Amino acid sequence: MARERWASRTGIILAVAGSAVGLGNFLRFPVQAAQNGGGAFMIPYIIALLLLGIPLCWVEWTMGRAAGGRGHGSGPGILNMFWDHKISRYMGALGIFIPFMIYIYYVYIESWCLAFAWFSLTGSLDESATAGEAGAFLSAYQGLAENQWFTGLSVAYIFFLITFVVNFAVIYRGLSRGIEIISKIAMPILAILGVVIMVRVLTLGTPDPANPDWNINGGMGFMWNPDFSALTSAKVWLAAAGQIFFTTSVGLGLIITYSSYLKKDDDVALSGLTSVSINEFMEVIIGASIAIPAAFIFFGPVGITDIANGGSFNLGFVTMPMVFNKMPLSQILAFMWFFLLFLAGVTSSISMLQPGIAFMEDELQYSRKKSVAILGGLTFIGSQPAIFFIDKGVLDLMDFWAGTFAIVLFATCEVIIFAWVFGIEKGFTAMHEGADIRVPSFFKFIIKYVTPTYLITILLVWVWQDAANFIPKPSDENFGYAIATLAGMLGVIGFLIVAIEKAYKRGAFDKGKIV
Amino acid sequence: MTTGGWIMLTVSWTIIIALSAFCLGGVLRLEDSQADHIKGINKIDTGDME
Repeated sequence: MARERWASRTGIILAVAGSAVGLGNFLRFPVQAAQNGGGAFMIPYIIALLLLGIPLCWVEWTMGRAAGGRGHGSGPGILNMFWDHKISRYMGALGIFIPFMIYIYYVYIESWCLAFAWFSLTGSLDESATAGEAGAFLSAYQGLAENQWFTGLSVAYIFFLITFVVNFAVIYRGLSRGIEIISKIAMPILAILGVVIMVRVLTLGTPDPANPDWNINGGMGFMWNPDFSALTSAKVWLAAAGQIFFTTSVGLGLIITYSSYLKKDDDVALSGLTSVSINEFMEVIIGASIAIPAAFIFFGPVGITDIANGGSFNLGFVTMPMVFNKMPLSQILAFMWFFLLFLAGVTSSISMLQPGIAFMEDELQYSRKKSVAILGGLTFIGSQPAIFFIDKGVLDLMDFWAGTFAIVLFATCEVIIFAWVFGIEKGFTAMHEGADIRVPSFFKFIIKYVTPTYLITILLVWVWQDAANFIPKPSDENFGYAIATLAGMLGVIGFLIVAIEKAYKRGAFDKGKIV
Repeated sequence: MTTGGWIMLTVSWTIIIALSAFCLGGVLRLEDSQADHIKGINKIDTGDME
């Protein structure tokens, strides 16, 4: 009996872990940390985890479960349940916009993992595993250069098509149960492999005698040495908050959607916290000990920043082949690493489609298959600029506005509606229905005052300090592409607002209000 | 790595390991009747679980 009980609880933990791990842990986090000063980034990152990530995960799980009981499963419907006002529905549009936009480029990054798994098996990744050639291999794969490995985008596009079809086959044919089972097995293997690679990185020593400072001590120092001067930059705080949200899926519109399918007596307090803590374990303890220290060792302090600035997800793809090259069974381990990352990506990306599907099903009364087909068409079209204009900064622009700025904005809307419009006391009571742990009472103060103040301050100071740098100027080299990308994103929001109005006129939001 | 770096690493790892241990301990201690109420996102049935 005790053994069965252990197996059942372990299964639960593995299921939660499988849901929590994604490309954000191993690919996005190192780039964000490197772009924002390594150790300087970690101070706001840990503060954001405690004051934003954890409180907001409880807020989202609670809001979703409460609204789901009334037939709403996406941002507009859920926020409208807590604040019956046109503005709340428009704010809720962000809960569909964000995962939609992230999906558009995330699926492309996911396809790189599949491609790199294939290149590992065929041995071509081995050939490029030197400091000079790893970057050239990735650049040519992305269509940014031509060399002995690639002369165009065709290979990358084939892997994108395979990945896109896999995603939609899973969601269209209703194979999510299979994905859940796969992730339950694959993600623990990914974690174990991560630990093995971490040990190898920590024992790399000084592989290049010409650069004795490029060693593990320097790499860990780059990651962890605090730089207090960087703390005056709102951009660093915004990036840290954005990464916490991106990686824990808080503020993306995913958790409120998924938790809307929970039963009234399902736990949200321990489920949410377990998901966040396992995710952070994978990111900060394993993820942070791999790509950045390794990149420092192979490329030095200047090279690592250059690679990070070259693309929001590049660092892991350039660095990891070189790490594997220093390990036995390098081809097999590299294949396993990139293929498991691909699976982690699939579990995350199919969840990004769910808010859009839920909106069409719940508010527009479309069938599931029709909703999936519409979303498939739209995301396919949307992915093309991210693929073909990656050298014009389109993917990075999407990642900043949707994957950082919009997430922080949506999280701000959610916490204000929950704590101030709905009321923190009622919110706290709702959070504890079916809860397996008691959330400490001081979180009432944090959720009501600290979290919203923190988020609003970041946004305002960022607008004052930095926003002008993110607005395209006619003198910019890629001005036209940047304007078109921003216009496209605004177009998606406009389209969503029209759809929300259509749903409102047919009474989709008249399902009662949570009191 | 500087002393400040070691302090940052130790504090961050301690917070995350403590959080993870608390949660895993919480899940392992649950009664059978409560265990099914703990969910990961992928485990939640959105109507497409077959």
